Amino acid sequence: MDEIGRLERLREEVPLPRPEELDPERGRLHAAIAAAPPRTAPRRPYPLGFGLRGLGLKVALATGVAAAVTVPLIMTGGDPAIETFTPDRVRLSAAQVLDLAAETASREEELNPRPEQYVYTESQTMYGSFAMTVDENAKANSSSGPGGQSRYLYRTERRIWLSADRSRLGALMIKHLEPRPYPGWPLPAHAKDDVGQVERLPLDDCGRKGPDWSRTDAVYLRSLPTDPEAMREHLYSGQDGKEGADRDYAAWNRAREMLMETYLPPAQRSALFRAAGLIPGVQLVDRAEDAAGREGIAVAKIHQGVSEELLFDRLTYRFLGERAVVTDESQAKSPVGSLIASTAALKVEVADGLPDFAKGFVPGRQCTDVADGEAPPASND
Amino acid sequence: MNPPHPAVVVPEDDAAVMGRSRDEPEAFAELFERHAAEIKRYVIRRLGADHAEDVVAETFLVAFRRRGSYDPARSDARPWLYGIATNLIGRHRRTEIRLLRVVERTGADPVVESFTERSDTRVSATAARRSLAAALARLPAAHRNALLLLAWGGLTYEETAAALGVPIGTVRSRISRARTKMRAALGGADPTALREETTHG
Repeated sequence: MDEIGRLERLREEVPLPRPEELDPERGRLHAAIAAAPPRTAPRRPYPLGFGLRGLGLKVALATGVAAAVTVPLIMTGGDPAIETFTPDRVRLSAAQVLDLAAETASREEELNPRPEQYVYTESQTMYGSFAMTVDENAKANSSSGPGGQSRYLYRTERRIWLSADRSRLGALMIKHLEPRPYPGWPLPAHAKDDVGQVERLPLDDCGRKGPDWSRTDAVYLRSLPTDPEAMREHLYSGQDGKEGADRDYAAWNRAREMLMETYLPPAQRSALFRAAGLIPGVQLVDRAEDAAGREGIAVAKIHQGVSEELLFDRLTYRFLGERAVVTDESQAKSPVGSLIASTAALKVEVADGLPDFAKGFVPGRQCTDVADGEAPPASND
Repeated sequence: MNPPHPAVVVPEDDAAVMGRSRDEPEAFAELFERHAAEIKRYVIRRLGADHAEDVVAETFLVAFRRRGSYDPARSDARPWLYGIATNLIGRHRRTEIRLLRVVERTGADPVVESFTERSDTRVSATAARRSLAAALARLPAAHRNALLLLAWGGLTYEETAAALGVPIGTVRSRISRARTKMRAALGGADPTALREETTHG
């Protein structure tokens, strides 16, 4: 027998897998197929209205919470176009998973912060940073993508202190972690400028309190209904001018905003998860990992080519964090399966006061030259 | 009850299914049913069962994403799929080498053990296995890819060239050099192989 013959016999004991032994791979493919629109489907332009780097921070300053529209990701390095996660459909329904999450939430500890106290949370986040380069030579700049745009994924550890009744200043401590390329886009040179730095910032709403439906402070959240149907009405409130699917997406976003960097008591939390299950188009995704690497199961709403997900522990159904995964390359301008946002909610506690670094913060000082509708600039931005 | 796949009188070739899947994404599932088992067996033989699931799933996800760039002149999608799988296998090169080294040192093959109950203690088979594994581990990755697509993937030289995206002459040269090394390892004529045998024996 020649060497090829001998080689052919090496490991020939490995059998051809039976069809059912390919179920996990088949499941992941079918999920990707289901998420892909027919080629002839109308395409909506990707919204590029977001501002500069630090979007999440500015939103946080403006509203007092991380009302992030997009989210974070964990990648292990290497080729960003290949290092991707993919939704995976499983047999449980999204509503069933949300019911299980509601059961778990209803048994969680009641923190009961007093109005003068603070809600302290820790999280890890990865969000997209989008910039339009105004330089006319931008197209020749190798660190810019099509049309002089640049994108990357910035990652941070966040510690935030928020007034329980939103009557006082808050404080935010951000540690900047190594950024990731936005899949399909080159990493711009400035993306690493802040890596390793820790920022300590005051959070001042500058007197703009916003309508009640947008509030996420602890005192307001505990006044919300504990009945799922009534909670659903809250999710859909304040939506003047929106119609159809936009209303459903806005409701889904409202639910997400009530979960990160907030304290939502067990009864309202339970109602929120059941209400989220009533939003049309919410679907289940398997195999979702949060920003801290915790394995979870996710429920998702797909919006403009991106699957925006809430993650739950696979065993306990405790809320873990959020994730965003590309499902349509033409809309999201990034390969299908790319993780473009990821968060992990790591801790929530009640604090009696602000941390020492915030002692010198003066209300209003950040607010002097803020244009209408914009947040104050970050200290070193 | 419906059969898993509708019977067709004249089966479409892979290129036709691929073309249809551009506008009907669900048609792509047929290509998985046709080829996934074969691809998975190949991946298991190279990386063991632990890594095969991810590599095979990713192979078909990448193929699905790139279906628009498939060359419609190629009626058989296997070389293309093997090429994608080969790239993904390359990300686990250390795993592949580590498994081959185990075979080289111990004569027992962890890749095979989970699939077989008998413990093969025939000395000659074990010796040949150890030599083959040792030689495979020492090949340059590009040579190992070509050789194993031929021996384990059952691809022709031309298909191997298509899978790897290199000219057929390159494939011939890689396989020729790889075969020489394998032959030397099996014959024990290669002083390098002998020294390794002594060291680890």
